[in-house]
Amino acid sequence: MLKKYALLLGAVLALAWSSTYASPEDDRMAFENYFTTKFPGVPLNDFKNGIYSVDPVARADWEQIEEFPPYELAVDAGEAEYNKPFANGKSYSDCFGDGAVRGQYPYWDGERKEVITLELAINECRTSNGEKPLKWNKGKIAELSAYMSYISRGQTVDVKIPEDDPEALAAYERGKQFYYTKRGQLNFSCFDCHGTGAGKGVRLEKLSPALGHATHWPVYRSKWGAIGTLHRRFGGCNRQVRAKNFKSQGQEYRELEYFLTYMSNGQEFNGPGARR
Amino acid sequence: MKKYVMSSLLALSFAVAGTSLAGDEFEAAWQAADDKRKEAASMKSEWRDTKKMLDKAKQVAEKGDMDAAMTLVAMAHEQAADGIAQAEREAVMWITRVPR
Amino acid sequence: MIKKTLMVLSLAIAMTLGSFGGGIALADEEAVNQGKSVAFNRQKGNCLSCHMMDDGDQPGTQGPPLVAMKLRFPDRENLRSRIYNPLEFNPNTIMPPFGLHNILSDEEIDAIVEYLYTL
Ligand code: HEC
Ligand code: HEC
Repeated sequence: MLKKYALLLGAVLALAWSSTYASPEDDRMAFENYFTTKFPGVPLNDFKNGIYSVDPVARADWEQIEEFPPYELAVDAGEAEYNKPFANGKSYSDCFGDGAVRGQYPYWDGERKEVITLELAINECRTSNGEKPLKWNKGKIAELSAYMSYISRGQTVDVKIPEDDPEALAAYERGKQFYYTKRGQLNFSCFDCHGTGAGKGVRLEKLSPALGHATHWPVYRSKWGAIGTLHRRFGGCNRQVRAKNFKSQGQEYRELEYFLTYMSNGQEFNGPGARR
Repeated sequence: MKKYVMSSLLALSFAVAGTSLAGDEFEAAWQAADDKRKEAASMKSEWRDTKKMLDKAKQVAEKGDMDAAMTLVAMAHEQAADGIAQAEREAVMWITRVPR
Repeated sequence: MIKKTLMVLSLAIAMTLGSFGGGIALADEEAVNQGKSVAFNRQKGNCLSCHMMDDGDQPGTQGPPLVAMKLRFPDRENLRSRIYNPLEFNPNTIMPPFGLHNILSDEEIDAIVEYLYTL
């Protein structure tokens, strides 16, 4: 009886929700509004600091850590790698110029009909110059991305969804659906934790708001003891709810990054970051 | 004597047939569970441990513990089916969580 | 399998004893203890990550405090369903469907219900 009622309620809700079209920009404004309403004390430009924007106690520790940033070594290693010529005599600068290009990613490639992320572009730069691709989640690729993010600090997140290409919008919509869909044995959507649950505690650990989630990658995580990429984090959050994670830099996670970064349009790129 | 050999041969062949029957049954159940898992995956709703259970079931079956192996297969099958049901619920529900 | 048989057997014994009075209290206490340990265990119920309950340390605040359960949930089946499949009551809830998704066994959920009625 109750079950039927709940199902019916769900169907009615879903119908009401889907009956009006929301553009990506409508989505983004509602998203931003959701978090600024939920955290009225947090300035809009502070959400890029993740959990530290809403947890003053953890923030004090973090500010101390940032005095001797744990990602510094990775940035240095990334710089050295960036300037090392490939076997064919060319180098990353032939693909990325001075390397301060964080603000251009992710973007929709209208010819290839797919989302291009910074890490994907780094590996494609390598393979097109006869070098082996790097592993996606950590190590050299994260160091390169850390260096490039570091020298791009202050660029504004400005992801575009070309209006003349319905396939770009479809990719965005798939990323969005992914974000709100419950998965895994524990039955959580990303938004269940980083929206509904944002700012609330899971024991000692609080959950960070999703606004600003894509601004500060890669991240040096104390738990990893190393620097890692955004897709590594996606995989961890999927597995944590006992869902099978998807391939790093596969279609699902790139479209998820496309959606999630779009939601942070207007925020500032401030990577690499340091997190617990 | 001859009779005794005959009957023990017969018993042996029954026993062999018996294990391969259990083996066939296991293979079929395993395949069905793995197909379900792939169906869940195609709906982007595979769970973390389902494949692990199926791998483990193979190992356990090779060691001859068919009961334990079949239990693992049944658990994996149920996980895959639950993942599919979850994806079907979510195909309708996800949009109700989008802030407006 | 053996475990299940034993459980059933001990349940049967407890019920027989119970009908003579006395014995049931003992069986209850065991269930209550088991229920508490399943509820607190991070790999099992992990209820504390969302609910304030009992003497649990550092509870989360996502769900309502679990207090006065007998008063608020006089119907045992109803309380059990809220743990077995909370989606029945709210398809958007963030509480995991512990029974529907086999996160906990039927026995473990029964034990938790037993325990919740002491709160
Ligand atoms: C069960 C809760 C839970 C779910 C569901 C979940 N996460 Fe997380 N996530 C966490 C926790 C805990 C952390 C670490 C603390 C924090 O920053 O919130 C985290 C961190 C993150 C971070 C890093 C934040 C930062 O500032 O560095 C990102 C990005 C993220 N999650 C994305 C996702 C995505 C995308 C999904 C869906 C695939 C998801 N999460 C689902 C719990 C969850
Ligand atoms: C991820 C967070 C989470 C976890 C873990 C969780 N719950 Fe809940 N629970 C909730 C929320 C949120 C509600 C509020 C009802 C809703 O969402 O529809 C709730 C409601 C309940 C209720 C109804 C109480 C009331 O006053 O309405 C009971 C009973 C309950 N939970 C028991 C449990 C038990 C027992 C466990 C552990 C086995 C548990 N919960 C684990 C989040 C959680």
